[in-house]
Amino acid sequence: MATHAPARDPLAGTGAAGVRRESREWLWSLLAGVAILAAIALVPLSGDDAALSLWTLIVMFCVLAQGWNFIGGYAGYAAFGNVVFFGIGAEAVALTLLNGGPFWLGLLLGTLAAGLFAFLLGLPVLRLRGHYFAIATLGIAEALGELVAAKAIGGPGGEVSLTPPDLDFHIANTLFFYGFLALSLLTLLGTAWLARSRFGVALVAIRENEEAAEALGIPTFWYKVGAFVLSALPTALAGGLYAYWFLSLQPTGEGGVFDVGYSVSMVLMTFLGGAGTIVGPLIGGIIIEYLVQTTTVAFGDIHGQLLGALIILVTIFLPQGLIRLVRELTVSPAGVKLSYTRRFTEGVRRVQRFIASNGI
Amino acid sequence: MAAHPGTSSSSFPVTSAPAVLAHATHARAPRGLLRLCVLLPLALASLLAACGGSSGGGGTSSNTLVFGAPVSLTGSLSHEGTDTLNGYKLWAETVNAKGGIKVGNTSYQVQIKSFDDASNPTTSTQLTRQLITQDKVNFLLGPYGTTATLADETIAQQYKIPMVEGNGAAHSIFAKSNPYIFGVLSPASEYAKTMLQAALALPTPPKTVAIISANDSFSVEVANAAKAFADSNNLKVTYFQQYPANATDLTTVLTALKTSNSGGVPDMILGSGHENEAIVTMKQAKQLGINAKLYGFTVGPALPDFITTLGGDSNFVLGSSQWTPQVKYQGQDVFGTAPNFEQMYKAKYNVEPSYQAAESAATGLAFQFAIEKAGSIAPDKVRDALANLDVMTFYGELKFDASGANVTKPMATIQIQSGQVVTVFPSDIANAQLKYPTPAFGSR
Repeated sequence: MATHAPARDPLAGTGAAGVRRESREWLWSLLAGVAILAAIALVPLSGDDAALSLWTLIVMFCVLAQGWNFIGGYAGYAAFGNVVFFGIGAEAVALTLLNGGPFWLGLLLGTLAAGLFAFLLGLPVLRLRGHYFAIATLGIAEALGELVAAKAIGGPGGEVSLTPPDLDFHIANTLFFYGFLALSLLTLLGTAWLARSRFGVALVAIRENEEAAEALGIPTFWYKVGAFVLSALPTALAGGLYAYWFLSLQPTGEGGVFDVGYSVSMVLMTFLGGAGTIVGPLIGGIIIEYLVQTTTVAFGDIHGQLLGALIILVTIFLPQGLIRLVRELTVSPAGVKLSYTRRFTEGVRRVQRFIASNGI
Repeated sequence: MAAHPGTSSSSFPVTSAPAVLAHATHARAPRGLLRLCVLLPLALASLLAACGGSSGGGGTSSNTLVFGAPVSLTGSLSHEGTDTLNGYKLWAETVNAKGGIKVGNTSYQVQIKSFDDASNPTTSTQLTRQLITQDKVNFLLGPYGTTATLADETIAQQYKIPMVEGNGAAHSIFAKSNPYIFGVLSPASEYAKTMLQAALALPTPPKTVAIISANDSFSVEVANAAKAFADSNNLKVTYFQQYPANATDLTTVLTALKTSNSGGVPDMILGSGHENEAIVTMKQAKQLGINAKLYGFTVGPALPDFITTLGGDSNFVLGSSQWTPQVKYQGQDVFGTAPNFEQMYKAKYNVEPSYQAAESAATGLAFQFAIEKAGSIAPDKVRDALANLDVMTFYGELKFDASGANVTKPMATIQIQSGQVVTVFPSDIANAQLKYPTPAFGSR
């Protein structure tokens, strides 16, 4: 997974023109991301509580996908257990609140704990590659969830029921919504910074050819650990916010804070949007979670099948994500003046070629 | 409802981007384009239908009362969730056929608005909010299971809409001082107690028992209550172990049970968990040659799937039941008696009603009596009427204590005998003798 090289445009020029194009792309991506989040920020104005909680969930999943993008998208390491950081963040807030501590302390402790856990976990597992790494990470979250349940941390079976914040619930829900939104914006800015930084370039080098990167003098192991820690931080914060927003937590099972379903969602959303891109996970998160929640309401008993079909189609036809599709469509051949119609036709052709090359 | 979004909207692309492509690339449609034509309409159709679905939902017409219910139709709780919805629907249908709910001179027809929460509590709360704010339901019926009920009751309280539930028995549900939650079923502490009482009432009662339980809070609560009861009634607990909820392999637990240092296979094996785990326990007990004198499960034997899946091996197994078709209550409700409910349920769904179906139907009855008594459909008035309710139904007495739990109705012990579910305890409602001891696997 995540080993596809970014699609190279045969018509794109090299040198100065190419550099200029690259530099504009990160800016456009960032602006698009900010614009999307700004539009979502208007949801509370509708006054519709169901829409508000729907978009709270959507933005939460966006943050999870954005967090996964650091290790899965940029470094190209298919981490299948990132929900473990979500769970740590949620448990930290739950335990802090149960012991009478303030919410912010729980968030802080959860983030620190998840960061530290990622670091310590990364030391052994980031020496593994490919499937071995995926399997190792998959087991961690399951094990920790069962541990919380077996040790009855927070309550029998690890199930926790928290007291809601001492606020009108409309206000509280709006605050949680903006909390998630701010977190998503922060992660977006972090991703944009990463994409332009030496750190980010090193991660891409690791993804494309780890031996070559090592040979170039990049301390690949420590960069990977860094990416793992980076992906843990927003995930843990999201888990902490979720705990106080949702109030009833269970460690395992569907919707549990260590449920592997979250990990699968992160991967799926990132890949639909575009792994290793700035705004891809955000777009993927919005599309998938929106569809998940609305098909449940609109299609009743066949929503599962419908979503499954969509996932299969996306994986077959768009394995490199929607962002790559947009890139193919909008890239303009360097040094050639073309009319807008002509450029559009060319773009459409490239998209067709791109999809055909991915299809069976 | 748009069962084939891909085909039904195949005329879609005419006005959208792919049609422009077809023109630009001169007639011959390339393969990629065809695929886009499949993919785009599918996505668009689901988006459009989703928007249409959410904006055009339910609403209260002048003479309809809408009851919202998030239930689990897929995922790990799908069996129990389906029975729950069946119970709700049968109640609605029966009430409507008998003229609806009467408030003063007005008759209200009942409509059930339900969504599938995929056994996920997060989805369940999202759907509850959707039901309240967008579908404008009048009242809420509970989801299936403790965790979802715990999460949803908070929403009910926030919007001051009463929720009557029949599928969450944990103490924690009623410990939140939430005035808007009412449970028609007997609380968790009763689940295992009834089976142990039935066993202890035998002429030569079992002397040892192994208690295994899933690690969710409800199952643990039940198991702890069972252990406490056994300890104080001279029934020796030789093995007490938790396993992960939804486990599909219990070999380790059963091997440990078989070889436990306090004397090997106990007289009785008591499982506190869910239907799937009860089935796995029986299958693997057979594989491992664990022949106890009595098997009992809190959830499972009362559900029709238990017998169809296990066949002959399900015979002699005890189950605890909130309700059985043999109970002898004379109800004032639209069903009247348990046999009548059983007959109507079988006529509609072609299977025996489980107690989950019966208790779900009973939640509707609680609402019906409360609304008629309140003479109003105002949520707060109905809530007050629920709090003071005391009626007899086919399911048993519906009466709530200050926390909203039903502590009046007893539970029953059932046993599977020759592929049929019979009631064996308490003796005043039993229609068969408890068969004991259980013969070895293979001769049941």
